[in-house]
Amino acid sequence: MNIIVCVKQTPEAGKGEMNPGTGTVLRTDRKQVINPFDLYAMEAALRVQEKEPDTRIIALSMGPASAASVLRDCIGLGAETGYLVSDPAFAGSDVRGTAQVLARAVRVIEKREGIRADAVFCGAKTVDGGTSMLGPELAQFLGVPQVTYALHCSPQKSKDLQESQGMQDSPDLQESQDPQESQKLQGSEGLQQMPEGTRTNGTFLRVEKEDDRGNRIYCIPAPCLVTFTKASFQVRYPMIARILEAESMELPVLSAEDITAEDPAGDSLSEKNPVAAGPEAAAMQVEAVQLRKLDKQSQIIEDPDPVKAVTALAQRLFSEGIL
Amino acid sequence: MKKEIWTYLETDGRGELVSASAELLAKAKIIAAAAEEKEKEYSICALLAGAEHHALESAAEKALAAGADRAVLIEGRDLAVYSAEYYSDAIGRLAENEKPRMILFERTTDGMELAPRLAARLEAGMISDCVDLTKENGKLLWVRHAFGGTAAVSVSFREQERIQIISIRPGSFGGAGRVKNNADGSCVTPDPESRGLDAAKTSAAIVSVPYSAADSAGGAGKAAGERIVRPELVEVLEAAADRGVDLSTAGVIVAGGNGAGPEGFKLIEELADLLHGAVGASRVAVDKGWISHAHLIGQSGITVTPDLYINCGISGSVQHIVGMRDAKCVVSINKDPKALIFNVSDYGIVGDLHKVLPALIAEIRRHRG
Repeated sequence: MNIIVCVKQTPEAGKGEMNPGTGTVLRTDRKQVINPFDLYAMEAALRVQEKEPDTRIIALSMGPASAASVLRDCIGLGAETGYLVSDPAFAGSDVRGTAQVLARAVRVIEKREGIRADAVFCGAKTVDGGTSMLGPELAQFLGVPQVTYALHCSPQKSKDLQESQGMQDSPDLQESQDPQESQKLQGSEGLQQMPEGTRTNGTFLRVEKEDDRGNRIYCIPAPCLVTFTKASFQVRYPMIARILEAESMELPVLSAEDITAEDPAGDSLSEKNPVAAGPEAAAMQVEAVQLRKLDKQSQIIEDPDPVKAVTALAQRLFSEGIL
Repeated sequence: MKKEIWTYLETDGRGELVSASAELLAKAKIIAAAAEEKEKEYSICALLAGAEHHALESAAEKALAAGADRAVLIEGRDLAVYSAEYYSDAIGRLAENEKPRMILFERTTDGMELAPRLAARLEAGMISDCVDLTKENGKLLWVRHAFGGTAAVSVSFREQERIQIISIRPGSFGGAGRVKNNADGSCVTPDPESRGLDAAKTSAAIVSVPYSAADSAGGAGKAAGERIVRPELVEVLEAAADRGVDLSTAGVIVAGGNGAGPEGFKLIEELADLLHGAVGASRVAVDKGWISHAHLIGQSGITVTPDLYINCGISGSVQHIVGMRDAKCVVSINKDPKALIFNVSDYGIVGDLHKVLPALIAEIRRHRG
């Protein structure tokens, strides 16, 4: 399986700031790190690779030249290489423009590496803008199905769990391995049709999606896009030897010309997907940014007797109509 | 003819609107009023998709009673189970023909992924997780929070001729249309007669449109006739949320953290029940297995905006505060007087929650007689 993991450089948690005048992110004096949700996507790709050792993992990012550092982080974790899309013409793109550029970049990588991207993995959201829009927009521009807010996934040779070899050793999905249960659901109305064509690639991902109405298990055929949120497992540490190797690696950089001029896969992608990148082509305009300060009075009651403390609190809550 | 503002509504599959969707109609009215200009007025259309005609019709009647001017039911076997792929195609196709001014989504689990996929299909701009709307010099400014809620960003659409896609945070817009959650999670919708709707008027305001994924007209990323692939839903795990109340729209939330323990969560549930509220949790409580992930509030969980947020044994990490800082009134109970949570609280008690909560429960019962 070939997996492209999309990553973004974001300000370290809780330390992001924006330029109130322009609405652009102030990046200079803040430590820039890989978006934490993208690490979950990277971890998911590495877990697929553990089950299917011939899996290739390629990282992809769009941003200034300094964003190459998050690609090197991915290589340290086990990605084979990383592509950076970087061009002044793309600075200030909105989500639509970014998704269009990344869709093209995926096609360019496919052509240059001589592969098909079976899966594109992304973080479910970023900790700076936090729109959660990029994954679904990219999936649509790539013309592939999506599962968002995934907790974990596992490769499968067939859409039928029982036929699949890949699942037998998956400790993650023990709880969902009751074959009778999944067969019953597959037979129920509206769920049974998976057109024959999806079987031709022979590659599926079994994905658990977080859902407050009860988590959902999906079987998604490749090529596909999955976005990841924090799962219950820990993200691994990078390997020292790989970090050092990554330092000296030359990473391919894709310019606006590479993205727009190449007819990457020889298909009609350019017709289907015009690129509207950069601030002039953006659908959205940031008009103002204001810092939001919490203005709380913080009336804290300290009384060794809990009953007295509660009485004091309850009186205030009752009198203000809060309770 | 009036231009339309579409609202994508979700149902429970049995003809009831989910509470977030009932809220959305109230917000659509506020948005329609703000967008109104000379010779430009907007009416509100409820959009419902699925395969069960009677359930959709029944939900549409409730939407009309709650303020929609008309309802469109998109129906087909392909829509029996929700999928972002087919649903975005179905709505996109209809929107290309009918060209509404905007399409509103509530930021639910489905809305959060359906809206951007639809936006890309229409090559439209989108603002996600919007919390408010203002107007300056005739221009609509949509407000959303960024950087973990520490910044408010005002955004406008640059392309006035294109359809605009907006997803809205539950409980935002000053709590407009907030539905009182009954103990069983059901929501009350107004009586149709209060809007002067009789059976004939109601049925005239509902239209039905068929959908089949097979005759897709494409859209961005797809050539016409190219087959749309969706993931197959194999299994729905037992609802991790063991209570019917939706955290994202709950008016009252009682939450527990590291200091709570399994015993503490029993008290927290008791207090939540007493206040007809929902139960929330911090990351530590979820990781320790005291409560399921569905209750997680914070950066990797859900963002909540209740009127009252009572938290017990939560120290107040940056990641947790991101998820609750917009609660109207925050009451914190913590043993540690230096806990960061007190900085973002309206009221606090320094003490052991195992002693404070029973006293609080007793006090509320006593007060209510």
